[in-house]
Amino acid sequence: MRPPARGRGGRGGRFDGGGRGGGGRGFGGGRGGGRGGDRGGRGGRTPRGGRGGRGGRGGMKGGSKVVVEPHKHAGVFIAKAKEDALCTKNMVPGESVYGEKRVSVQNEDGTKVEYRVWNPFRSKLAAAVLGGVDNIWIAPGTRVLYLGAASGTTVSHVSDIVGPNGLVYAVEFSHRSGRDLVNMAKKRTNVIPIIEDARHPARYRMLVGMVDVIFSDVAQPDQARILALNASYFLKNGGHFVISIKANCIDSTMPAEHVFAAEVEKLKADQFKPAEQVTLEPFERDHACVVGGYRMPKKQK
Amino acid sequence: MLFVPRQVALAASPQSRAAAPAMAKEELKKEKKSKSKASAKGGAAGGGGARAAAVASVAAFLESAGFPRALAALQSEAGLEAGAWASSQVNLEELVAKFLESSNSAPAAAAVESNGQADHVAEEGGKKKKKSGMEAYESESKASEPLAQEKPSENVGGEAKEKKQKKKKKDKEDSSAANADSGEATEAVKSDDQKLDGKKKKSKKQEKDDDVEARLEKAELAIKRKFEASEKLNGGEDKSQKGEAKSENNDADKDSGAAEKKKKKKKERTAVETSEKTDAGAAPAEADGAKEKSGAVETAKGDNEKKAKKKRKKSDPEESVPVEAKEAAGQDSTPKPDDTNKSEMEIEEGDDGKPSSENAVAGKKRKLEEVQGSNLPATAKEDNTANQSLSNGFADDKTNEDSNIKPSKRQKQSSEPKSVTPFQRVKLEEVKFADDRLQDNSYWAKGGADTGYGAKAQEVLGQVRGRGFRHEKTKKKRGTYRGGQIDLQTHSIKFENSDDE
Repeated sequence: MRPPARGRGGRGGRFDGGGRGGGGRGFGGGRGGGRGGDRGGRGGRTPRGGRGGRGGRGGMKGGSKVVVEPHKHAGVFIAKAKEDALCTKNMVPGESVYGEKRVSVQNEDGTKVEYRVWNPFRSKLAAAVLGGVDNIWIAPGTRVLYLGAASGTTVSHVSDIVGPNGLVYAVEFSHRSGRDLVNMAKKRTNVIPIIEDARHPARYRMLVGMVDVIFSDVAQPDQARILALNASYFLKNGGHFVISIKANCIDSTMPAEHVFAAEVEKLKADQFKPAEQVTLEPFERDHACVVGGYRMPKKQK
Repeated sequence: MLFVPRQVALAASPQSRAAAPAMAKEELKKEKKSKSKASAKGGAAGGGGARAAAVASVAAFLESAGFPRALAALQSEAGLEAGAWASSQVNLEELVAKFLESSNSAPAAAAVESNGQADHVAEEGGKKKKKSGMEAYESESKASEPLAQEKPSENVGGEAKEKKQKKKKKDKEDSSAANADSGEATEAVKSDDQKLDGKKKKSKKQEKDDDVEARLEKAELAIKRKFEASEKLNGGEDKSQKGEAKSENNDADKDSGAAEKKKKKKKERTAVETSEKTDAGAAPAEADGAKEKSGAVETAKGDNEKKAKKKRKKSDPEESVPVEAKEAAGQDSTPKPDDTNKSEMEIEEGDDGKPSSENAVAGKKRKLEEVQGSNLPATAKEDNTANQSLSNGFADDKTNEDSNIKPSKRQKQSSEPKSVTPFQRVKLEEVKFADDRLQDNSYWAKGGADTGYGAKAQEVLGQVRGRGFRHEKTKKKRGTYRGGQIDLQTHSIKFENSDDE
């Protein structure tokens, strides 16, 4: 009884909101209406269910009607409820890293699996996944070197993806961000936080072993060089890289597309083989994500 | 104090040639003064008869010339009786006229000599105040001498006497100033001067020369002692060594001078030597005979080393002048003015000390100046031109280098995408798109955008830029975004050539 009622209420509210928003600026009104509709739905639900106490935060959260489907990328899931949401399987159930929502799904055998919603506006990797990248090469059991880990939001999801068998080396230079990163890593055994400058991989070469994938989100003018340097240290032959390119960090005077092309050329000069490029719009502005291989064997096709 | 009578004498000496009578009056007045002083100090030294005759002659001249006040003063001071000078045998005007005639006939000798004598007397009158009693006596004797030697035939003898007296004075000055050796040396130099300049030499000039020379020779002596020490060490090889040193200077200058300090020292030395030569020597530039004379005198005095030094100095400055010029030319512009200033300063000092225009010394200075001046401007021009050429060359080189460097830099910058525009690291021209779709990074250009998950976000975020974008995106970060269905298709742009290899 509950799920249908909730679904109806939510849908109805959302559609109403959409109608109201149409008169306004389109999205803001629609969004507000949507939220109002959710609340309304929940408000009706709150006396019955106990979860309404979380307030107005998203309606994606785990109802029993939420169906989680695996994404084409291993370790990434899609929580399909009234709205789809990208999520990863929470390695540490019951813990929210950065205030994200969790979706608990009870399997047929009665075991509960908790998923964390992966916000594409917070994570470029999620934006790349939503943007339709072909392969992120980050899968369960892989070892990932994450450059530019920041506070560890994306790192936590990568940690979720790689799972207990994988390993994430999270390199971040800022101590303030690194504090959150370390706190996050305390609960995730597959994350090794490294508070060092990614420009000097020799400083943390003793901590990092060979990795399968390097994810780079350093947003520096010489990020291609940084990536190449770290790849020369830690990336296995035939490994892959995922790099997020912020055009304004490299050249704010030129169009983003030209910057991306130049960066791709630079990557090509560094034994990288860019395989694909996807824009991160609309989640990021003037960003692109390039995925490719490193020292690929000749007959890889 | 001391110079006032000189200046008066200077002013008088040209006037004497132009207007003899006025000159004579002035001289007479001076003589009078000196005489009166001499008489005041007591006539024990001078002969009484000659003195009375001189006073009488002066008084007679004053009367005839129409100077009643001066005559009265003389009368009162000398205690002469009125009309006592009428019996004076000596006519002062005639004497002066004969003097002038003799001076005109014997070129610039006698007349100048007389003037010089008169001036000398006047000077002595001024000097008396300063100098010791001995000199005062001498000056008295000198003052009395011209009057005593009033006959023109005695002029030559007077000269000799004067010279002797001057020598005595020099001796005294030198002895008071420096050692016996230095006195000898200076004496020798002065005697050289007298002998060389001979008739042309004026007594006052000589005295002034002596004053200046005394100063200069002190410095000369100091340098001589240095040289002596070096000579004692090096023996007779000094000349050759000096020549070598000079040649070395030349070579070093030609070689564009590694050790400038040494050069500067040498320059100073040579400058001092030249100044010494010009001021003190007065001989070497004129003739070799002069050298020989001075050398003879010196040998008579027996200082071979000094003679050698002097010869060296005589020879050296001649060498050193072009060397200096070369040095000044070859070296930087900063030491040049110093040297020239030094020499000029010395020359100016000499001129100050000898305002009556020493012919020989001034001539030599002129020669020096001419040499230096002729060399200096040319060399300066050469230097300027050389510097200009150098600077131009450097500038050209720089410009060429710049022009050469800039393209290379640009090329480098183009290789690492830097260019003239700040923060431009990507060259627009060199960007090649592997795929046409890569030329548009917008969301709507992506495949499946219309029904994609980010379509609604793009509707909002596409409207805003900058702060608005951040604002809207922050709202999306709260996790309330609903984008619809998430499709699993690939919308990325593949690099085709990347997999071919």
